[in-house]
Amino acid sequence: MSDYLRRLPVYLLLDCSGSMTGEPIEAVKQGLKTLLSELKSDPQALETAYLSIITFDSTARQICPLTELFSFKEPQISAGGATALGGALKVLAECIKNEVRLSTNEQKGDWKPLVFIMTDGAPTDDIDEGINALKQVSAGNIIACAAGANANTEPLKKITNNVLMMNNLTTGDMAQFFAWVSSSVKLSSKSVEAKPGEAVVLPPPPQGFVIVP
Amino acid sequence: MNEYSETNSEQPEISEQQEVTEQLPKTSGESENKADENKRLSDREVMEHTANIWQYTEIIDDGTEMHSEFHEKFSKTAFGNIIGARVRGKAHKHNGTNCDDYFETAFTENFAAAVVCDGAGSQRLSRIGSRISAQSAASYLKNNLSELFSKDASIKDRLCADISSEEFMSACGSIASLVQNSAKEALKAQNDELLKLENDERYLNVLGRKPVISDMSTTFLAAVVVPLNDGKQRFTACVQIGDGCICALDTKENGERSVKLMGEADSGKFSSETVFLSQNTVSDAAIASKTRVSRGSSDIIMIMTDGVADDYFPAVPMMQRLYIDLCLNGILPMGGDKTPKAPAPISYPAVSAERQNVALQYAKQLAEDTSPESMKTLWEKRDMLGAYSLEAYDISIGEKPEERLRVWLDNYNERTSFDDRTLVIIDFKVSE
Repeated sequence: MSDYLRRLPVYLLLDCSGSMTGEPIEAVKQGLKTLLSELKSDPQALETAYLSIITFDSTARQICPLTELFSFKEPQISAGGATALGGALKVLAECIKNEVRLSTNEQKGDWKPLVFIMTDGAPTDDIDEGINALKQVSAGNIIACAAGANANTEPLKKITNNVLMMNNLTTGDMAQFFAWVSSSVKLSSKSVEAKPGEAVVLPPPPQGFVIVP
Repeated sequence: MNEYSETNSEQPEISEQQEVTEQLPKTSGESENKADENKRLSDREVMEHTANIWQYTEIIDDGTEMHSEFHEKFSKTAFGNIIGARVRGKAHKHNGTNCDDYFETAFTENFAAAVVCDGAGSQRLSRIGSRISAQSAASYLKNNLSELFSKDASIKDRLCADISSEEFMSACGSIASLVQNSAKEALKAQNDELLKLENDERYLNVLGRKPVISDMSTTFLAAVVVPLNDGKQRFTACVQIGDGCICALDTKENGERSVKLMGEADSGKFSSETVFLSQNTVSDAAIASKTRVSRGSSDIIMIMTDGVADDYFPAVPMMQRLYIDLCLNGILPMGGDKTPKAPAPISYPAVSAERQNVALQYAKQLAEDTSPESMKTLWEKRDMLGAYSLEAYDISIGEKPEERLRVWLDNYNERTSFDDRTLVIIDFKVSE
């Protein structure tokens, strides 16, 4: 009865700006591979989680629409350009509006979306417009990760209360970030029968990551 | 038949309708991984894959109250059968957690009552809340309804009176207010239990603090059914706080008229958003909007948690499919020739220590699709589907109806359905 399938939408917003060139972008690619393989071993995630990827450099685009894990193909990503985080938020708002189903009298809605934002710099465009666009849709739970020494946490704190800081941009740290995303998705898909009105429960961040107050 | 149904509420709030579109959002770049380029697996293919990954884990004993893996109960009454079962959901089995659902039933020669509760998955002691609520409310209903019927010999006659008459309204009000009070009683029992637990070290250790009332959050669904006119009619009064479903089915009726919903699920915009038994939801104003009464010829009353209700959504007409599933799997009687016809029942491995295969029949296999038209066609054939039943295939999933209900609840497969499941059926058909 796919008509009434309740999905856990997961959106990854990945910074692919010029500063991610080299090891960082390769680490992101590897992290995505690991994330998929981890999630595919979990029955709850396999039945419920749908994944989408939005990348941003000088512009923002959805490179993978919301797709179930079985059918998900790893996207080709490369680094270059500026950091259009504001644009990415607008794309996210549009995607949520078009892809996430709300409950109606005829259909069960999706679970609240889970959004992960990873950026290594500061936005080069206006993020307020993106934040406003997000307010117009029910964006669900947003977790932002400021990666590396040059990442600016202030704009991220305007987007969400859940901000993490990853001190380095090494392959190891990036792998830990994606492992943590995987645990968070698994935990969310485990608690999909959990009832509402509560803050999102996430696993503790990996070592070397700091929760920004 | 004189049919009467009312709710004390104003028009329920209807969620904002949102058109679902497959159109991709307009983005500033080109999408490199379009959904339609990917082969989408059918739900059955996905479930065949995940069936082998689900693990069975014993409940982890942390010293606090533990609930049994499942419970089943059968009562034969003067007017019909009450069949109930609850099972631990696949997610709880996989993660080693308790079943948070609970149910209790009660009856005398004058009425049947059932209370079904679903403890909030996010609250550590919700299983205690659901148990206490179901037990205390069922006990309250049994005592107080018995007293009402013994003190007021005219109440049944008054329930048969004209629905606009003062006689009917006062009798209806007496029973409805007892059902409402049973919810208040359940909340009071939760508070009493809390007093017992709040200095218990086992609970302090598990929570890392004193337990509070919200740790016991649970939904609450109560139904009281009174047989009237020598069993030809039924008066039903229900209270539903939170999600799940209470449904009265008239199996003699065709079309959507056969399904009557006796509650509102209080769902939010997203799946799994609901409300619980609380001071707010049992206040006089709030509980009035959650109360429904009905008089008519419905012969099957079903009370269930969202673990079942969500698999049969929207309830109109999907409760008809639930009834057919119960008949196909031998929980309720099924008519028609029993020479087996394809499609055969489908087997999946049970999520249990033994992992044996369990074959079950699915009504949706017999319908072209899930459209209301297909459900209507299927419902019209409901008494002639014996050839697809487990019995036709010489498959038994239990000796007794309550055991069959429990095995069926424990093993039917729906994608993304892995919550605890509870269903109580009050079956008046058997007495007709």
